[in-house]
Amino acid sequence: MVTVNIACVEELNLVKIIFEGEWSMRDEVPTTASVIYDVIAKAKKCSDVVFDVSRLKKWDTSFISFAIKLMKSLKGCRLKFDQKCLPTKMLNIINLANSKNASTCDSENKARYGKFWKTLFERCRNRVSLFCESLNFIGELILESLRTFCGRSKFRLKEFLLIIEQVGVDALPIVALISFLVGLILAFVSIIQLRKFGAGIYCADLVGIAVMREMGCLMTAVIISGRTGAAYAATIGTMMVNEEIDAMRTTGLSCFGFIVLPRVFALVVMMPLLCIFSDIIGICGGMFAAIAMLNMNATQYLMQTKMAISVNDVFCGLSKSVIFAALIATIGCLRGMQCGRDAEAVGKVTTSAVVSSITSIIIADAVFALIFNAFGI
Amino acid sequence: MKSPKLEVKNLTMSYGAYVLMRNISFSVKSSEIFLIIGGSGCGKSTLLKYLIGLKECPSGKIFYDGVDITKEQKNFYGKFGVLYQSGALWSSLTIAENIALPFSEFTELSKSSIDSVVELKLSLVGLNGFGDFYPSQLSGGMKKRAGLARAMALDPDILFLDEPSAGLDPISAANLDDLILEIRKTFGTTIVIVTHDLDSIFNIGDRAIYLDAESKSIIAEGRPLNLRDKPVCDKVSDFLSRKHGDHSSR
Repeated sequence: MVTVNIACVEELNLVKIIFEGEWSMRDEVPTTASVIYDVIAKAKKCSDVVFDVSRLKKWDTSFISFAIKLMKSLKGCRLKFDQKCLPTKMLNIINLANSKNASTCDSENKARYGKFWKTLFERCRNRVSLFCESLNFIGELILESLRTFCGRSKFRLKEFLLIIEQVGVDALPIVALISFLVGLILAFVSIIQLRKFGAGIYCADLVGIAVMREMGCLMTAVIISGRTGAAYAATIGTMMVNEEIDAMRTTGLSCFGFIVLPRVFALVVMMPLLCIFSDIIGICGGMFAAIAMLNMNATQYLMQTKMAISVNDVFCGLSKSVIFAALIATIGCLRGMQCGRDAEAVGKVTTSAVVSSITSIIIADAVFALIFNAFGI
Repeated sequence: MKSPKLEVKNLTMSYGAYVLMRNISFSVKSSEIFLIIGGSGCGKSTLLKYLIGLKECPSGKIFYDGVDITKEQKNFYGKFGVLYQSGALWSSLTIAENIALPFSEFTELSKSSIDSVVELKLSLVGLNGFGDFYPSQLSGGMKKRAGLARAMALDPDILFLDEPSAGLDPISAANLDDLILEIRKTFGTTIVIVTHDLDSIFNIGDRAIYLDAESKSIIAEGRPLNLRDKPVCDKVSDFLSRKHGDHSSR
């Protein structure tokens, strides 16, 4: 514990601030305001202030911070403070803190950032530039795709096949589990309602159409955006942090050809297959519930499903899955490319990739619903 | 008169609204080891980013062999080699694949020829037998060497090295310095190095510029030893004789 006494030595025209005991940031310490108040009260006839730390047994950096703050306040009150009264160790730390060598933001730049409107303008400009970057990215992606299709750019088959495995085969278990449960839940809910009217058998129609048109592709897209979209953003973001993307650019290699295109193509190829897989498993889930709750057999259920679904339903689901795949892959890669240069930025772009992908999938699904309705599909 | 290999005229560097350097100019002669030095945060690595085209110049010009490349820097990608601070090796490829990639992209060499050139490059940097290793399996010094082998894969006229000795032990750093000197001697490559390693500055540098964050300009230019022994200002002599904060006297 520390005590602070203030003594006025009139013959020397100075006020002595005497510190006694142990100054520790873990204990209660006096505030600058309380000390300065007492100093001003006693310094009516004095103009100089000194510290007496000879009885201060222990101190830490919080004392230095207190001393610096007090010195500034004393200066503001037109009281002279003589630093020489402090021991060398304290002076060294104070000098180091006040050193010109310490990196400081210069006044010119500080002024720019300090102004509210400037900051607002900067942020708006950043948003616009991010939007332009996104458009630029999509444009580059289209051009690179065309170049690849025309044979003017090499297609990275090795990377493509490797990514196919990662986004397709490796995703089968999770897609199967979620699709089965979604089919099961749909059937369970519909059976309870339809049984009231003696129409339990029609749960096969409901599950079949819902899974084929909506749930199959939608659930697959949500899983893939959380799994693959996030992985794309994190991988490319980490490459950005490790300067691998910069190295690729300065070597003259196309980031699109090496990184983006194989990923986008792999997902566009695999997503419809995953969607068909999800549809089949979803119907199986529904069948499982129907067999358990309605004493139907598998043949009856499948025959009912076959009668209910049409080629249009399959087409709807598959066409949506291709667009969803393109959205997830493009957003994942774009967010990765927009990554900053630190570990936190990787986390941010990964989150952003998942959120943006799921939002865009839902919006795209709504647009598809309107289009299919308009064309009577 | 022969034009400089690299020339920078009135370049202003900034991060958004934050101005780092204003109207800086310098030139690098052919086959020269040119150093960009200065305290932390003064903009050395940022200047390198401008030179290699990773940042667009808001004002000023950059000439490469007398040709203004300011507006079309991307067209010059692949014509120079860059060693990044972290090595920046492509983590999904082996060391040999890292070095072979520029060959398969920009040359007509057959697979077997590429393999033998890659082997040669690896032996030049003392990494024989490490071709099948992935970057994650190498130490920091080895990554730097592998990065250097990749940077000089296509025998570029000019190499940019960003703090090559950062994070290396003194022996590895000295070995890397020797390697840089050897590359210059053997291939006549112009080498631009961003560094604040004093040993490197005096051992390998032909000429250096000192960037000063306070005045946002180059405050000294010349041979490193001259800059230390006949200093133009205290800041530079303090930096080069490591007097900062008087560490030597403690």
